Amino acid sequence: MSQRLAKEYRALSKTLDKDPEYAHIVRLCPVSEENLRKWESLITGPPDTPYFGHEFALQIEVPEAYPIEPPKMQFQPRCMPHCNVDFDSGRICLSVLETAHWTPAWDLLHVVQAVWLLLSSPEPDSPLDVDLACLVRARDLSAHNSLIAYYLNGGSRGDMAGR
Amino acid sequence: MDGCPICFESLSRGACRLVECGHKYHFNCIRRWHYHSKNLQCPTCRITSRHLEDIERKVTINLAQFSDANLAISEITAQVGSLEIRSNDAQQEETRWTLEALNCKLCGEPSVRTNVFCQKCHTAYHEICLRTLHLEVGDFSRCVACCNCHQIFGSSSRELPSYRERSTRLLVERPGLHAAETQTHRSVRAPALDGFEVVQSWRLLSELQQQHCLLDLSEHKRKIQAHVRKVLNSHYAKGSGAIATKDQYTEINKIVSRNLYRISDNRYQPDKFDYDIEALRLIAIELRKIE
Repeated sequence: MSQRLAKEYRALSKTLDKDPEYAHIVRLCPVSEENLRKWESLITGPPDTPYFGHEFALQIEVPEAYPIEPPKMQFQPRCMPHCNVDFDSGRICLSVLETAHWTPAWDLLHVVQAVWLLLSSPEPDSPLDVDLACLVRARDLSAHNSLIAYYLNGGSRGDMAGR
Repeated sequence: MDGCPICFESLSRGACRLVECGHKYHFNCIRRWHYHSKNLQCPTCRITSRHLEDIERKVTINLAQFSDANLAISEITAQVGSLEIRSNDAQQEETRWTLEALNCKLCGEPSVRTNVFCQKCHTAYHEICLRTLHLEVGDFSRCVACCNCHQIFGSSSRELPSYRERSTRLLVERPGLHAAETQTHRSVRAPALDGFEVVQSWRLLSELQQQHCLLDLSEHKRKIQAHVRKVLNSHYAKGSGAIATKDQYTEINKIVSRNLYRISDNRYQPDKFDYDIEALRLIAIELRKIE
């Protein structure tokens, strides 16, 4: 099935160059052309969110059985404060990444897009960051956004090795 | 997207369609996904499909029935039975039943020389007729199935190969299967993850096509032969003296039927040929030879 990955790669370089709909995906490509199982992506924060103006790196691992099995995707550790992301590991809680919800009709671009959309619509019912989820649930948007902005701009969060 | 949504390759070969929602995939890809997902949902729209149609060969598999991996061969044959094209002249069949029951189902020759007898549906055959038919429809496997009920039986001289062996051979040897498909089939069999059900699907599909082909051909021949017998019987019954013995009857039956198969390209084409008149004409020629 790695032929499918090669096809995706070829199609992606065209789509990302041309389609303004995906302007927020700065990069989505294999780490090295020799190994199509490891990819990386760089996305910009969506407008009207505290993430705007920042860039975020995603690490993507494509299993042998892809597309029967979903790709594994996570943010760089300790870079993404979000109620559905485990801050320390970068792990993402997103239904399309789970085996139970995945379908092989999706591709890597779909998934990166879904992750990007998650940034503007946090889902407090399946939190990996309880503090942020509580703020979302309390509908305290300004507290939620300023806390994220604080972390993103280098605010200390435990042993943050950040920017 | 023009290709298969699962592997992104072109659907020009090996395509099939989920009947309920109409989405198309490679047979192999969708069965692999069904096996993995443990349900029969379409990857594109998540609608559950119970039927999968092979587009090129117009064969439909009942996936719901099939999802039980412990599929017994009896279930396959039951399914094949539903594909059978039943002949309309049931009345005629009825009246000649006692006579025909002992004749070879394929060539109509009498019981003395029939040497294959299906225990399941009590149909007699000449081994040579059965084997010829199998060759004609492109089945080069060594075991032979009853054309009526699809019971598989071997011959006395050769041991019946096991079902598994036979299926593998079907896939590899059947000329109708493209080499590329055969190869995909192999590549799917190799990794453990693809498992039993994909292979079983292939097996079933191949079986269905095979049996469908076989049925089709024997049904055409049977219909053509019904005309020949009708004409012959009228001669025989009249006691006109033209046909003196049963041997002559079967000899003429054989020659005339084979001629008719040939001129109508092994297909029953009642709109193109008047089989009664053709049979009458050919029988007349044969009768003149006897005199």
